[in-house]
Amino acid sequence: MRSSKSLVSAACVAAGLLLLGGCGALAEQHPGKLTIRVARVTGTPDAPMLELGLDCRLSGPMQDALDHGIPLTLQIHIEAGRWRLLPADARSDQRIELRYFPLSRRYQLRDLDAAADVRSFATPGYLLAGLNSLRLPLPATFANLQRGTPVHVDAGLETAALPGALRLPALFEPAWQLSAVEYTWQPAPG
Amino acid sequence: MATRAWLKFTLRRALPALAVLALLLASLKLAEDAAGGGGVGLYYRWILGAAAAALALLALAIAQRLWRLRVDLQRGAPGARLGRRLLVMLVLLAVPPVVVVYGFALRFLDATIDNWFNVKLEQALDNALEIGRIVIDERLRVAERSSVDISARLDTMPANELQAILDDEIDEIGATQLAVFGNDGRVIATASSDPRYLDPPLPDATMQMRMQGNGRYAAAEPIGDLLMLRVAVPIASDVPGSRRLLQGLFPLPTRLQALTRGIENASFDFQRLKFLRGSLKLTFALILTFALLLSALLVTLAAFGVARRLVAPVGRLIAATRAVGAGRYDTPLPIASNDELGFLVDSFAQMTREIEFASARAQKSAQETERQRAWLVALLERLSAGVLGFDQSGRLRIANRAAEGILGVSAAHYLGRSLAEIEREEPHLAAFTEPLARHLRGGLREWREELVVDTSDGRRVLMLRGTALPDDAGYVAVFDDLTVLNRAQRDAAWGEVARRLAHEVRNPLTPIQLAAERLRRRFLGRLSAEEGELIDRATHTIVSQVEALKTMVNAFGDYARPQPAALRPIALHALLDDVLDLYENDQRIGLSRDLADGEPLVRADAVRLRQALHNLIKNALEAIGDARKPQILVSTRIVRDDEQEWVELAVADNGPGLPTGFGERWFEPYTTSKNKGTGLGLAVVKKIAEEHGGSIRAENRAQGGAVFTLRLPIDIAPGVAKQPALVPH
Repeated sequence: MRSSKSLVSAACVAAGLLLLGGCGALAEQHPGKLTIRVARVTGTPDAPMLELGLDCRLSGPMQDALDHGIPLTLQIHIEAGRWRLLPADARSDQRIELRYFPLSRRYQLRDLDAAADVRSFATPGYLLAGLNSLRLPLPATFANLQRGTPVHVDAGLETAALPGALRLPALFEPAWQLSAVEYTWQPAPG
Repeated sequence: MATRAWLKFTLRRALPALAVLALLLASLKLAEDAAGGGGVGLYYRWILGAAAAALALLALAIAQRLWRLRVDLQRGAPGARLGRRLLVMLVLLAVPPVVVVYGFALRFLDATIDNWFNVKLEQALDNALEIGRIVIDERLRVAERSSVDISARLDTMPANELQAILDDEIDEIGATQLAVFGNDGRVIATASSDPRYLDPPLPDATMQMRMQGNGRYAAAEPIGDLLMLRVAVPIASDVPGSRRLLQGLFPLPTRLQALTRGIENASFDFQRLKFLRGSLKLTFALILTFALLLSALLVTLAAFGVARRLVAPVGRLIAATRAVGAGRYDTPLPIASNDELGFLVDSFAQMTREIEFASARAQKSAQETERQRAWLVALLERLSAGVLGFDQSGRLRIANRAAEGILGVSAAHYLGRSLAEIEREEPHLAAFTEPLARHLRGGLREWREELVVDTSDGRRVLMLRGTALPDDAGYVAVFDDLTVLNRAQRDAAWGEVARRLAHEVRNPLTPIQLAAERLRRRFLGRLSAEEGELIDRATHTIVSQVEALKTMVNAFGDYARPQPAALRPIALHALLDDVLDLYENDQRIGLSRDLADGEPLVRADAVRLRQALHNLIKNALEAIGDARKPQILVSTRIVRDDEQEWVELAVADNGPGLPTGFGERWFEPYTTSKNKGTGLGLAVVKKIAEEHGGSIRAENRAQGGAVFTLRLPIDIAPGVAKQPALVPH
């Protein structure tokens, strides 16, 4: 009886140490960074556009995944409305895909909602720099916002678009956490 | 009750089943997703959460069952220990194989995934990719040369002729698109052989940097859905500051396009799998862990169920056994199944029925025995003869009340003791115990002996008979108090004597007295003085002796009074006052009274009771004699004895006290210590007391003298009499 109790205690201690070790290992991973540098609604009243400047730095695993042909999808959510709890005056979700093609050694930036908008880059640096100047089409409702209506934008890695095997790490590993703090502004009148 | 049953069913059955189902579905879905066939990306965390919740629920269900088992063990519920043993056995049987399979599955999974990444395959894919790149580079060089040639032709061309040249050359060199950009990056001219590529892609920073570094740009780029060769070369110009640029998009041949795409996809998939190797292992390990936990928890839950199902009939059998042990035979038994347990239940039920019948018979027999014993005890208690029962070793086992009364000892105190031990504590009974012990030792089957025993109530004549019980069950001794019988016989004899005296003697007395008086009257005057005096003395003597004989005959008549006493409620104190008032004025007597409170009523014949009181006072006065002034105290008191209230009328004197050897015989006729008197006074008092259901006893007083106490049963309690009692005058 005593030996079985000791065995259980040892197992508990080992599990605790493993858990602590796992937490420590997770904490050591450097997450990526995503910041919305600038955002504004431009374009014509019929075809408003979101001009978005994202500063993005991928974590090691993310960059590795990209280089191994795993596309990374950034989800950009834009919403206009005075009260967050009420239905928004206008809202839109955009998805940007980052992808690498090994044969041509090119990185591609694609607006998944506008198939024609594809840009390719020779290096990941240029790819990420390409995120500095995104022009994304918006629904017409964004052109008719009332004066002073705040517009909120947030962006982040869409883990649901990752391969199934990566979903578990993406849930728990800090290296797979990539989201920007919400950016809010009030469009200038006119 | 229905709500409780539903809640119990939900908590104990439905929820664990749902948890198992959820865990199973979640594991399958996660496995499918990890293998690439998922589509659960949006719900991944919910599925994972549901699996964790299901695990927690199963763990809680097991914890609840464990807790219940612990409680059952602590309160010693029937079958709890067996259930625990069975549970441990089932879990020990089921869990290790599952764990072993889990370990092997992990190992197999690890090896299988590693086997996917064959080094040679990877090398082949890399080589194929490199070949593709070489082919593309070759194509790029061709496209570059073509572009340089066109550029050379364009360097002197005015802007308005550029379009024509591009239109001519595009088909010539097999380009998909040709475009000339000006200094400011604007498109000066463009030509396209494919309507999908009408808008030329603008030179980006990378291209411009490469242009600045290498003077030209050539690369394969994914444009649209196709891999295109993009070439940009500067167009020389004589105009200072003019930096025009020719950009051409060249397609790969269709076959090459397909081949390179296939190579790229294959390499892509391989690299992606390679990257996902660790995550795949982790995910599959997680799913296997879910499967392991599901199996282990399910096995444990099932073990609980199986153990409960197996043990429940045993537990109920144990409970039934306890109930039968406690004498309850109506405990429901489990339904007999068609197996060994069913046979056991059937056998137990049959055994219970037989025990119940046997117990009922035994109980009935015990009741009958108890009834017989009670009847025997009642019989013994009502016997006037004393009965003592001894076991084989001579120890007292039973004694009736009559034995206690005759011997004057408490039988309960001596039960279980031998005659020798009784004799040590009651040495005055030696005349009884010694012959009895001698007969018991003698082993005679039957014997009898008359004994004279001194008890606390005086000397008694006992007729002792003994019998050995059959089957060496012991002995029984029966003894009758012949003292009472003898006294009764003497009383009857005295009564007969008295009756005969009253009848035979009284009749001739009057003629004798009359004849003597006639003699005296006839001859007293005729005879001489001397003879006359003789006649006078003789007749006087005859008359006086006849008077004395009459008095004696009357006394005998009183003693042998044939007619029964006329009993009526009598106020005793009033009757006492009436009698005592007759003596109150006699200066020779010091009479005092000390009567109890209230007015006790007795059912009595007032005349007889008055006579008894006169006799007692007369007896006291005669006992005191002339030596001192008689001091007589008449008192009453109420006593309770044998559930009956009595009044005790005591007449105390200051005489010499009772004579030595005073006993029951002194209440018989012609027993007296005085020189005069008939000796019938106390006998009459005793007879009157017995006629009234009472008794008379005598004892010496501590301060000297004797006291005679007449005890009579009270008819109505003092102080509660509502009917006026008869006060005789």
